Amino acid sequence: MSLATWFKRAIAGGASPRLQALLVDVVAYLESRPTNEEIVPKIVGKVIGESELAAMTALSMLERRGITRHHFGVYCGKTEVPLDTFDDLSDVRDGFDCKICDKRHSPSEGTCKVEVYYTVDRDSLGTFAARRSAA
Amino acid sequence: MTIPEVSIEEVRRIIGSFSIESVRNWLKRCELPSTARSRDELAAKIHGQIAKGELTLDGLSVAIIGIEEASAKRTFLYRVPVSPSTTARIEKQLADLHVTLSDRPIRTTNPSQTTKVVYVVNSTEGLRAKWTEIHTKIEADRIKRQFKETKVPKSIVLIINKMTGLVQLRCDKPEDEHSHPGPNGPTDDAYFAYFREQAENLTGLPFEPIDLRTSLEKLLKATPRIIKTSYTVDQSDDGGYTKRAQKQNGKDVRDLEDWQQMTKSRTVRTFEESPVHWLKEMSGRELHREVFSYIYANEGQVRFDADCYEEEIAYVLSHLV
Repeated sequence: MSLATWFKRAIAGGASPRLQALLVDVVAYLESRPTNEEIVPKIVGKVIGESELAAMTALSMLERRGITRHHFGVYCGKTEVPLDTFDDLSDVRDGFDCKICDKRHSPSEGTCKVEVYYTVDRDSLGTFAARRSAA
Repeated sequence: MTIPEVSIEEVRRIIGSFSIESVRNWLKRCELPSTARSRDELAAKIHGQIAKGELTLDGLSVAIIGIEEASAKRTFLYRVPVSPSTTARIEKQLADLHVTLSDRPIRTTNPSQTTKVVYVVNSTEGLRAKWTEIHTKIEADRIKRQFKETKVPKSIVLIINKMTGLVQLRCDKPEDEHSHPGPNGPTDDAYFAYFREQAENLTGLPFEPIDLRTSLEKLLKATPRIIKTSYTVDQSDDGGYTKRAQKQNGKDVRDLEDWQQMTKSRTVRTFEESPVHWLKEMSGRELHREVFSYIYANEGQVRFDADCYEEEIAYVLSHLV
């Protein structure tokens, strides 16, 4: 079963106990973080003792509920400093001026990299967490 | 007062190939409308402002010389002794070399592959000189499997302040091909070294490089903060060479827990390089906008943005030397 199919089934049929536990852990992590922080799946995975893929799945499920929102950050390949950010991967162009290196970087040439991160809607997170604890 | 008639071609010629952003930035500083999407639109706007008497052609020429000599420069910082003998030595060297002096800075015209002196201005306060040459930028078109070559004029400016002994050697970014060979073809280092040698020969003085490590450390640790930065490089006495980056948008590397721990540590560190944004609100009205510069503390070099101007460079250097 592909991840997408598994994901759709999980959403459609109500989350499995494992998925429920994963969501609880991720929500607890999100609540512990300062407002306006960018959430990186691999860091979430490390904190909750799961893989980056599992963390990303949970963050994607939360996005469907309006709690998180994904973005694509473009980073300098040499220094990791952010160059730009996009909501849609198809908008990521193939050239970015990097002030730090004073060069033009390109994802296709590997001189910069694109990574996904999430932002959190604090109101939706609060409502979701309150509902879960009431249940 | 009658306003001399100026053609739009004359305005276009003076603006030349300088970035639209740098000219717009100058118009903003003059508190004039600066919106323009293209070079032609910008020329038409300035032409209209000259016709209305809001600007003069001389004012435009002076501004363009300022842009040429301040923007997008790698500025190497040196010191020369402050003494009457320094001044005398410069005078003698200029006389021995039969250098023709100018009374004011001149705009670069007709650059060629070989290096040319544009002007040398010598006064009691300082010496200012400019060289020019052409480099070739080579870009690969992978689809057509061709190389595109573009000739790029370069300006190199020497500024010696005889009152403080501070020397600035401002070099444009080197391109792929130029006339300063290293062991295996043209190199950036050979280009920079050539102009240091030219500057030392012109003045007859040896330049002592300025180490900016201590200044950079003070700057990074200053409270309240007068800059923001997302990247630092430091070396420590336990063998560490640490690059710290802030990956989150709008945040400062000094907000990291790791930075806080580092400042409390007894380990001795030297701060090697950092890109910094100078905060307008902390400049005491000296800056009219946030200014970017990259400080290579180990090389005594500061790189400035393409639309930077003289007063902004002076503000940055006043915090470093």
